[in-house]
Amino acid sequence: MHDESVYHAAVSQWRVIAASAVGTGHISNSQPCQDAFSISIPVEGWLLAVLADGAGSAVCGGIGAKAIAEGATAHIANVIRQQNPKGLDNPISFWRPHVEAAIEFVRSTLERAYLEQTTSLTETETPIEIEDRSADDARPLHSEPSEVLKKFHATVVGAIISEEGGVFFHIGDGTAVATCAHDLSEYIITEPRNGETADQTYFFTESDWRDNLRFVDFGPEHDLFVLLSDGAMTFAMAPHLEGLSPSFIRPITKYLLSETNLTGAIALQNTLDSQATREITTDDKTMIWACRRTLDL
Amino acid sequence: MNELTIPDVQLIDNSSQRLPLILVLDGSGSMSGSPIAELNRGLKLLEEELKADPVARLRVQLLVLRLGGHDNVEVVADWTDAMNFTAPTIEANGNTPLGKAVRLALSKLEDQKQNYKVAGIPYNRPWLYMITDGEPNDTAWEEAAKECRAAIDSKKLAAFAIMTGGARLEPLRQFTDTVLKLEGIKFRELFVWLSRSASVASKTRQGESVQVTVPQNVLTIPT
Repeated sequence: MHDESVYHAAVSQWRVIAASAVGTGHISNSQPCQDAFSISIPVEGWLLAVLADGAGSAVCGGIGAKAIAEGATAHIANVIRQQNPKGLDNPISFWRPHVEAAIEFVRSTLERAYLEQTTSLTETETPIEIEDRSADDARPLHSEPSEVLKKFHATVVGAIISEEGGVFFHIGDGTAVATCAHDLSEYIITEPRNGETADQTYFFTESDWRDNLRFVDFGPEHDLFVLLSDGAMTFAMAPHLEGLSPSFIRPITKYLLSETNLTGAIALQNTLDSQATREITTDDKTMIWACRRTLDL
Repeated sequence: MNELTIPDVQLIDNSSQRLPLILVLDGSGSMSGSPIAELNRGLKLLEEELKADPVARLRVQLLVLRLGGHDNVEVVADWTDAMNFTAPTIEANGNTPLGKAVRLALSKLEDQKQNYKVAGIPYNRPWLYMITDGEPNDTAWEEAAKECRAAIDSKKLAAFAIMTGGARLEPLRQFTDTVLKLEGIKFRELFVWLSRSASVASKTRQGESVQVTVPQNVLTIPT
C-alpha cells in the first residue's frame, strides 16, 4: 500500500482487499472520510482486520477511528507474534482480556496525547500515533467518564482469524461476517448494535465500553470474511441481516479472485463510491474482503 | 477519475429507517378564517415538498392530530409514509385540548415504535411539532406536559412548539424548551422549513446530529 483508502495483499494463506469511499454527507461538509481500517498478517496463517467508524458528531471521530483500528491491530498482532495461540478450548475467553487491553491502551493514549497538546486537536492535524506495546504499558489516566474521549467517538469491529477459526469483537454498529463462498447460507455474523434510535450507537470511547464489547466465535470451515461499516451495510446485506446479499458478494468475490490485487482494490473502491450507492446512503462506506487462498470458485 | 467498477454487482437498499414526524395542529375556534386557511395551504406544501425528496419520501412517516371541538382530539392522518401522505384539511372550531392531544401523540408513538421493532425497522429520534394560537385549556394538561418533557429528557423525542396568534409562552414552555413564534400566519413558509429539516434529519446516520437553522423571517425565539 498506498493510499489509506485502499489496501491489497496476497500473503501467507490470505488474500485481502479493502477500500473506503467518503460519503456525500461528508463531502458536502468538506469533511474527510470518518471510516478507518487496519489489516495485519503477523504470523503464517493468521489474519487481523479491524474496521472503525468515527461518529459524525465527534470533533475528532475520524482520528478516533484511525487510532482504534491501528492501535487494536498492533496490540493484537503483538500477542499473536509472542504467543501464536493454537488449540484454544475457548477462544473468546482467551482473546477478551487482550482485546480489552488493546482498547484501554488506545483510550489512554488518546486522552494523554490530547491533554498534552498545547493547541486544539483538529481533523487536519497529524493523527496520533499508536505504538505497538504490550498490555502492561496500558495505564489509564482515570476511570471517570471523559470529556476528552467524547471527541474521538468511534465504533469498532474486528476479526482475529487463524487456520482453526477465530473471533469477532465488536462495539457499536457495522458488521463482520464469516461465511463459505460456495454456500453463503452458512455464516456467522456479529450484528450491529444501535440504541433505541437509528442515530444512536455505542462507542469504544464511552465509559461503559466494556459492557458493550461483544464477541462471537467461529470454526475453521469458513473461507470468506467480510467486514462492513454501517454505510456499506445499507446495500450489502441480505434482508433481516441474514448474511451477505448473494447478488452483492458473489460478483465481488468472483471479480476479486480473477483480477490482480491492485485492479481489484481500485474496482472495489469505485464500486463503493458509485452513483448507485450514493443514492442509497450519504454515509462513508468501507469494506474489507478476505479469503483463504485455497478458495477457488 | 478511474471508472473501473466491479461488474454485475446488485445493491439491496436496506436503508429502510424511518423518521417519525408527528404534527399536533390547533383546530380551535380562534384559528378560523385566514390562519386555518394558511395552515391548510402549508400542509399541502409539506406534502409536496416531502414527496419531491427521493429519500424523505421513503423515510419520513407522518402522524397528524387535530385538536379542537369540545375537548376533542382526532387522528386526521394516521401513520403514513411521506410518499403516500395526503394533506388533511383541518377545520377550526371549539377549544384547545393540547394536553390530551400530546398524550395521544405519545401513546401512538409508542405503539408505532413497537411496530418498528417487530418489523426490524430502525428509526431516528421522532419529532413532535405542536402548532397553536392559544394555550391548553383541558384538564390535566400539565401532566401531559410532564410526560412530554420526560420523553425529551430521555432522548426518546425531539419536541417543538410553534406559537402563533395569541398563544402564551409559559404554558408551552412546560412541554418543551424549544418554543418558536411564527411570524404572522406564515404557515406555508413554516411547513416548507419543516419539510426541509425533516428531509435532512431522515438521512441522519449514527452519531450524527441534525442542525436545524431557524429562518428568522418566519420564526423567532419568543421572550
